[in-house]
Amino acid sequence: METLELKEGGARLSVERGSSRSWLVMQRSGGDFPVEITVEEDASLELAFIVLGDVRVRNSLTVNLVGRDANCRLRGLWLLGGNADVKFEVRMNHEVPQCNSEQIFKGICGGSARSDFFGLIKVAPDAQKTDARQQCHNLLLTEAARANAKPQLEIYADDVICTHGATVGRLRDEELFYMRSRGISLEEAKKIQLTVFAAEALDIVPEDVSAGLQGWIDAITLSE
Amino acid sequence: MNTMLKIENLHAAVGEKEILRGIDLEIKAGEVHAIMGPNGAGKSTLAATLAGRDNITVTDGTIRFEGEDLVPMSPEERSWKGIFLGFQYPVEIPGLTNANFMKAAVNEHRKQRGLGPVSAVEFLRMMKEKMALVEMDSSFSSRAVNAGFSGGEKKRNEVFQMAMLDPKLAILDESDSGLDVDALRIVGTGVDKLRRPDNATILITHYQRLLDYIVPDYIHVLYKGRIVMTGDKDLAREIEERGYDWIINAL
Repeated sequence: METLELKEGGARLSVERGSSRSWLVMQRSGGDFPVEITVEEDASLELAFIVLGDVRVRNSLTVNLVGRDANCRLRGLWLLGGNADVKFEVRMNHEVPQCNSEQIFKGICGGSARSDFFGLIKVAPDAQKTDARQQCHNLLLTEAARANAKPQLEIYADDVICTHGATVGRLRDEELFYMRSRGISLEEAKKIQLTVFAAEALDIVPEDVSAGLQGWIDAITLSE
Repeated sequence: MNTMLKIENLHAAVGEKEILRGIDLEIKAGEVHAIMGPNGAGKSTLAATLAGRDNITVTDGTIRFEGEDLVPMSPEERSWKGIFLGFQYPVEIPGLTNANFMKAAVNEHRKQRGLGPVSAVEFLRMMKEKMALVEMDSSFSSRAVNAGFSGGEKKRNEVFQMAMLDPKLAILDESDSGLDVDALRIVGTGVDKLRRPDNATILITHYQRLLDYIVPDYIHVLYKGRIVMTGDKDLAREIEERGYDWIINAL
């Protein structure tokens, strides 16, 4: 996985026919980042966004699957605190048949942070045999934190698999009590729950990167 | 023998509703007490109160564990002191493996005793030994905690966790409910093997059958938040045959 440095004003990228690219975008400072990526025939794109801390970020990502058997695995994780304000828009365009896309987004908001996720999957009329999946799940750690998740499907083909799911929830007391009854402290139990929650969005990310996020998770647990 | 747990005049409420209405119970090291009673008697509330569930308020009375007041302690402190609750409905934690769950728990217990984290070799040995006790196969340690487990597997997992943490006092809340005969045998013999002169067990059960494996020293009947009868192991058989009406009607 290569690190992709996004500059203010964004980027236009492409994954050429038959090739595969794997990019990691770490965002620790704010800005507006419009990004458009075209994925050609038989090409694979893996892309993970990790947004951290007390930042104001506007991500607007468009992925165009323009050649048969193109595929995209997209991940996003935001760990926010303070007055962070993150907007994340994704447009996944299936323009031709037989492409697949899988998106997993996980958001944790502490402090007075807020996140807004908008995710559109658009399947063109002749893009049959499309397999498109999207999940966006959010955890709120405080009363003041906010999260919105708006998934949207626009499907013009009839032989497709398209799924989406979005949730906004809080730490689960049942799980916390279960862990505490085994001697795991409340603080540690919260950290475990957050780590487990975030893990699904980190499956394509190298282990040293996901291990490096533990400090952020610990900090966000305490910052409540 | 030493008194381990002493409950006096315990009243406890869930929300506004008083569920426990004056419980007295004394448990000594080495003893097994069974608590029986009809649905809604307060059996699970008693178990949860001892484990420190936060939606329960102790409104009167005392609970002393090895002389210390248990009521102000957090659930984790109670665990460190040696109390274990076997859940009636074990909680699923998707994404957390049984091995990582137990490693976290064992290490916190060690930390409280001033010890460093358990070594990988020692932890593996412990896991293997305790898994064998409840006949769990090796895939168990890498499966997520209770996620997708059958009813029997969940209850065996409770006994496994009990074995890993080696509590002084185990409170097993309907560890026998929803089990087929094989799972019941595994759970029953597992718990019985963990019985020692220096630990104690409270078994909450509806049925005589678990008590065939773990013969209790005392059986208490809980009704409307009070212990209304105490007997020896033969009481369970009588309840099995006659139900609770004869006890309730005599009150």
